[in-house]
Amino acid sequence: MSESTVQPDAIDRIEQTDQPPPTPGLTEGERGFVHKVAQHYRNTDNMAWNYGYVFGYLMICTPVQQRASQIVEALGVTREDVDRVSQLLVTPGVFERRDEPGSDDFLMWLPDGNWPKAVRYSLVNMPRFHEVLKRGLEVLADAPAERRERIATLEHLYRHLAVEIPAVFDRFETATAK
Amino acid sequence: MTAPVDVKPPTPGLNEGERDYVNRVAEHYRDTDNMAWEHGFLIGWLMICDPVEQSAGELCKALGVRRESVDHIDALLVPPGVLTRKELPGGEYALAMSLDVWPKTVQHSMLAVPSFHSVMEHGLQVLEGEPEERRRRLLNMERFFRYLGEELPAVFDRYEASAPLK
Repeated sequence: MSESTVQPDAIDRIEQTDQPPPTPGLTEGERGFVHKVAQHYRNTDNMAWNYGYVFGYLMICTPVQQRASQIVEALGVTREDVDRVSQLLVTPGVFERRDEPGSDDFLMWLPDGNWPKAVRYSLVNMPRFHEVLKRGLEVLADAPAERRERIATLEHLYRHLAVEIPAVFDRFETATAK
Repeated sequence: MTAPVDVKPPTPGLNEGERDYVNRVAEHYRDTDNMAWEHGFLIGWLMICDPVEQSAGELCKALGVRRESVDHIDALLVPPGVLTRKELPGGEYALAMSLDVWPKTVQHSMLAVPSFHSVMEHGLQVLEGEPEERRRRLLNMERFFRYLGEELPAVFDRYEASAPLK
C-alpha cells in the first residue's frame, strides 16, 4: 500500500492517552506548522502525534541536520519515537541518517527533493503492482467467488490507477521541464 | 523496518501458484518500501488465503513466519482498517482482510493531498524571510503536492464514475 503521501507503514497502534508533545524548543509559528503536519498524518494514517511532529520538524528545522538527541530536546518526544521515525522513513529513502561512531546518537535529515522522489517512486510502481494482482486472479481462477473477491476488488482499482497515475507524472514532468 | 532475520519464509502450507503470487507481492513491497520478507508474505497471503479469516497460529504455520511478524502486521494494518482483528480464546487472535477498506484507504490518502499541500503552504509562510537553505525542503514539497493535489482527486472522480466505491 505504497500510495499515501507517506508509507502507511507509519502506523502504530494509538494509545488512548496519545497527546501532542510539548515542543519546548519551537517558536509559535514552527509549532503551528509541525502540529498541522502531525494532524494530517493523524487523519490519514491514524499516526501517533509524536511521529507526526518529528516528520514536520525535519521539514523545517535549522540546521537541516539534527541529532536524535536534539530532536528529543526540541520537541519533547522520546528517543524511541525518533528511532521509530528513522525506521519508518530512512529505508524508503525519505530521511537520511548518519550514525556517529562511538555514540548511540545519530544525525537525521530530510534532503531537498527526497520526499517527492519517494512518493513518486511508490506511485509510479502502480502498473507493476497491478501485474502482481492480475497474477493473483490467475492463481485463483477456479476458486470460489468468496475467495476471489478480495483480489478482484483490488485488481479493478489498480487497473484504473495503473493507467492514470503514470499519466499524472508524465504531465508533471512535461510541465516542470518547461 | 527490516526484521533481524530477514529471509523469505518457506511457506509450507501453500501450493505452487499461491507461493508464486505471495512471493510477487512481497517482492513488490521489498522494492517500494524495503519491507521485511515475512511482512510482505503475510500481506500477500491475507489477500488470497482460504478461509478469509486466519488465526495468528494458522498464519505462522502456513507461511513458516515468526509470531512477531504476525504481530507486526496486526499493529500496522489493523488501525487503518485494512485488516480486521478478532480476539480468540487463550490470547489468540485472527486477522482478515477487509474488502472495501483498502480501496477506501488509497482513495482517502489521495483525496487528502490538497490538504497536505495547504500545510506546506502554511510552512512557507512560517519560514518567510528565512534563508533559502532552510526553505528549500518545503519549496520542493509545496510545488510537488500542489500539482498532485490538483490531479489525484480527479483520478478518483474518474474511477467512481466507472465503478462507484462501496
